[in-house]
Amino acid sequence: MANFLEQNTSPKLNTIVSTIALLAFLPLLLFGVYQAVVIISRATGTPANIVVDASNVLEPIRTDFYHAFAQGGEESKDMLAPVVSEVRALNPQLIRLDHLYDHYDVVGRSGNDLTFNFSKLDAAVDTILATGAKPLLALSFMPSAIARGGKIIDPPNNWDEWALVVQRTIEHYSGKNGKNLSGIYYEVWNEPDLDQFGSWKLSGDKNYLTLYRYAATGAGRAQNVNFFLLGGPATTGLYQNWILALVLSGNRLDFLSWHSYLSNPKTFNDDQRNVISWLLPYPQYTLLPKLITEFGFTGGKSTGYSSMYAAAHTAATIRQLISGRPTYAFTFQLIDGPGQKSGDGWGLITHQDNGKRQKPRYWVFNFLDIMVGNRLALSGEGTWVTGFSTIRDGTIRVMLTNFDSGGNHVETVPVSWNNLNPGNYTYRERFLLGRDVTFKETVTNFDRRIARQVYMPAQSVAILELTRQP
Amino acid sequence: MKKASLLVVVLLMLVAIPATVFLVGRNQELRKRAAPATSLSLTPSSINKKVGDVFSVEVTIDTGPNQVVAAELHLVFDPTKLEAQTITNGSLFPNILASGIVDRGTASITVGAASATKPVTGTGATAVVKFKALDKTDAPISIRFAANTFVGSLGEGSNNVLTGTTPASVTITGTGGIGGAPIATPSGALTQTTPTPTIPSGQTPKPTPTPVLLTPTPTKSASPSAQASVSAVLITAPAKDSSVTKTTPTISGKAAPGATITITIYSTPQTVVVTADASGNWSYTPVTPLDPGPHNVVATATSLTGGTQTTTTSFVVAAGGQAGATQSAQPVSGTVAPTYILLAVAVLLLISGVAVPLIIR
Repeated sequence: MANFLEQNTSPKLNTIVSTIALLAFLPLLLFGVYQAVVIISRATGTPANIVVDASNVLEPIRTDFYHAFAQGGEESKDMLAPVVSEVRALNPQLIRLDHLYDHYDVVGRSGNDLTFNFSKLDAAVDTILATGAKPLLALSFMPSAIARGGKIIDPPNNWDEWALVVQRTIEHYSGKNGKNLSGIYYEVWNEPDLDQFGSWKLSGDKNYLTLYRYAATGAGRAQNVNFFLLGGPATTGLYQNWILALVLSGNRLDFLSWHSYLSNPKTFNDDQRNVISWLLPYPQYTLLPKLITEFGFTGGKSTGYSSMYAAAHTAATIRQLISGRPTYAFTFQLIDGPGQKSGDGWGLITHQDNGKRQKPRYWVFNFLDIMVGNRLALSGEGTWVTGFSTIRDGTIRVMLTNFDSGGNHVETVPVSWNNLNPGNYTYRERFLLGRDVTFKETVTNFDRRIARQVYMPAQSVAILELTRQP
Repeated sequence: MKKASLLVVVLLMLVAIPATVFLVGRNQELRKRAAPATSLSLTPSSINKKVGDVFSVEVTIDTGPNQVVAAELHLVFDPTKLEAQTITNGSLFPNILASGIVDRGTASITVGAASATKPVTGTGATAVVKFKALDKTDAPISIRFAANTFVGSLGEGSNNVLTGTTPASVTITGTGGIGGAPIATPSGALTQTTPTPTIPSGQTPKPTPTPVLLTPTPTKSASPSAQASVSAVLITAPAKDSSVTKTTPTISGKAAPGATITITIYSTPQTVVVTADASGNWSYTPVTPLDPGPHNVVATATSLTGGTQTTTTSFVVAAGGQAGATQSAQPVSGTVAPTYILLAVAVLLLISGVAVPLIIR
C-alpha cells in the first residue's frame, strides 16, 4: 500500500494531504484523549449500595431551611412583581434583595441634609411580603448621594452619613412606626471581596470592617424598632479571615453570611464543618445563625441552570446540609434577567419576556418537603448517588439523587430496607418530573427486609416511599 | 499642702495594692473553680454484649457550673471489635453543628445548645452512638474520648472547659447473636452495605448476612490448629467482582468434608443449605434467576464439630445475558456514548490515512 501511494502521488501532494489530515483530526484526537481520561476518572468512583435501617431512628429533619431565595439586580426595578404567584407556590421563608441603594433611589441630598424616599423599595418589599416571605435586605451599595465621587462601590465621603442611611433603613422597615416588620435580617453589603462590588479588604482605605462598623453604629441608633438581625460579610465564598475578622471586630454581629457557588455538593458540608471549627474557640459566636445567602453550582451563567443538572445539584446540596445545616440556604435566583433566551440565566423562572416558565430546579424544593420527619440510618452512598432517609407517621422515605458534575453518569442502585415490621407494604417510586410507580411488597417475619433495584438516570432526583398497609 | 497630697496618694496605694491582689486572686479562684468542672462520660460505663449485637451508648455531660454552648466529640475504639453505625445529638443539645461521622475506629459529631442565650447547664445526653459488636474480646476493650474533644463555655474564652472524661468498658462474647460465628473484620465499602436482620425469638439463628473479607480471617479465639481446616470455607466461583452472563450462575467452593454450608444470595435474597462432599467440595445453582446487577453471596460453614466460618463474594450478573432475566437491561454505571465517539475518531483517522490520498489522486 505504501509503495502504491508513493508511486502514484507526488511528495508535495503527500505533504499537503498529511498536513491537512493532521490539522483536521488533531482536535478529534484531543477530544478522544479527553474522553478517555473522563472515562478512566469516572471508573474510580464508588457506586451506591443503599441500606436503610428502619430500627435506627435519629434526629428530626427540617425542610424549611432551603425555602430561602435570593434575587439579583439584573433590572433596577421590582423584578419579582410579575411572578408573585409562582414564587408564593415555592413557600418561601426569606427572600434576599440587594442593590437597595443603587436601584431604588432611596437616598438623595438636599443641601447638607440627606433625603430618604423608600417608595420604590417599599414596592419591592411589599412584593416579597405578598409571596409569604420576609425580606432579607442586603445593605448595598453605597448611595451615590453620599459615595466618594458618586461611585456606588466606594466608601462615603462621610462615614456618619452611611451610618445614617443604615439607621433610617432599619427604622423604616423594622420600626414600629414604619413597616413594623419583625425578625428582618440586614446584611452589610453584597460580595464585598469582588472587584465588581468594590474589592473591599480587611484593612486600608476600603476596609470592610469600617463599612460594617458604621453600619452597626447606625443599627445601634435605630429607635423604636422591632427585633432585627445585623450581619455579614456576604463574601463570594466562606473565608476564614473574613469570618474571624468580623467576629473579633467587637461590633454587633447577629448572623454570619457568605455565598457558595460550588459544583461539588460535598463541599457545602465541608464548609459547615469549617465554620464551626473556626468558631468553637469563640463560644459567644459559635451558635450565631449562619446564612448561605446565595448558592448554586457556578457563579457564571450556564445552561445547566435550565436543566435537571441544577435540580440534581440542589437536591444533592440539600442532602449534604440536612444534618449540621445552616440556618438558611438561599438559592440564587428566582427569576432570570431579560435577554436570556438561550437559557443560561440563574433563575428558577424564565423572565416574563421569555414566557415565565418554571425550570426543573423550580420543582425540587416542594418535591423534597415530603422528607420532613426523623432521620433514619442510611449507609452506602456512592460517589454520584447520595441520599437520606426519614420516617414520619410510619412511612419510610428515601431521597436519592444522582448528580454527576461531569454530566452523564447513570447507575442502577441496590436499595434495601432492614428491620422492617412484617406485613404488606406499598412501595412507591417517584422521580422529580419523571415516572411515578407503585408496587406491593411483603415483609416476612424471617428476613424483615425489602430490597429493590432503582435505576437512576443522570441528574435525577427520586423519592422512594414504603408504607405499611393496616 | 504638698505633704498632705503625698500622704493621700501613699495611703491610696497602700489600700489599692492589697485590694487589687485580693480581687485578682478571687477572679483566678473563680476561673479555677469553673473551668475544670465539665466532664464527659459514656453510659453505660460497662457493657457486655455478644457478637452481632447492636447497642447504643450515650455520651453524658456534666457541665458543672459552666454554661456550655457547644461540644465537639471524638470517640475512638478498636475497629476490629466494634463498628460505629450512627452518631447523633442527645436531648440536651438540640443543634447538630457539624454532622456526625462514623469511620473505622472513630465517631465524631459537634453539637450545640439552642442559642447563646440558652446555654446548656446540668447533666444529660450530649450524643448517642450506635455500635455493633463485631468480634469477641479476650479482655475488656474501651470506648474513649480522643484528646481533641472540646467543650466551649460562655465566659471562658477559648478555653476547653473539659477536664475529665470517663470511657466505657466493653466485653464481647462470641456465643450469641449469630450463633457464635466468628466474623472477619469488615472492610472498606462492604461495611457500608451491612444488612442486619433481627432474629425473632424462637427461630433458629441464621447466619448473619454480613459481607466480610473473601479470605477467611482467623479470629483471636480460634486456636492455630483449628483455624486451618475445621471450619474454613471458601467461595471459588464466581470469582470476586467478576461478571457472569448466566442469571443462574453456579456458586461453588471448598469447606471441611461433610460441613454444612448455609448460602445466602443478595440482593435477591435466597437462602439454602448444602453439604460439602468427602473432598470438601460444595456447589449450588440458584433456581430463581438473579436480577441483572450486583449480588453478594454469604456462605457460612458449620463443621461436624460445630465450628463455623463465614465468607463472602460479590459478582455482577450482566444484563440481557440469559433468557429468563426478569429486568430490562440497565447499565450499572457509565454510558456508551464516549466509546462510540472514540470509535468514530478511529474510523475517521483510518479514512484520512488511506482513502483520502486515493480520492485526491
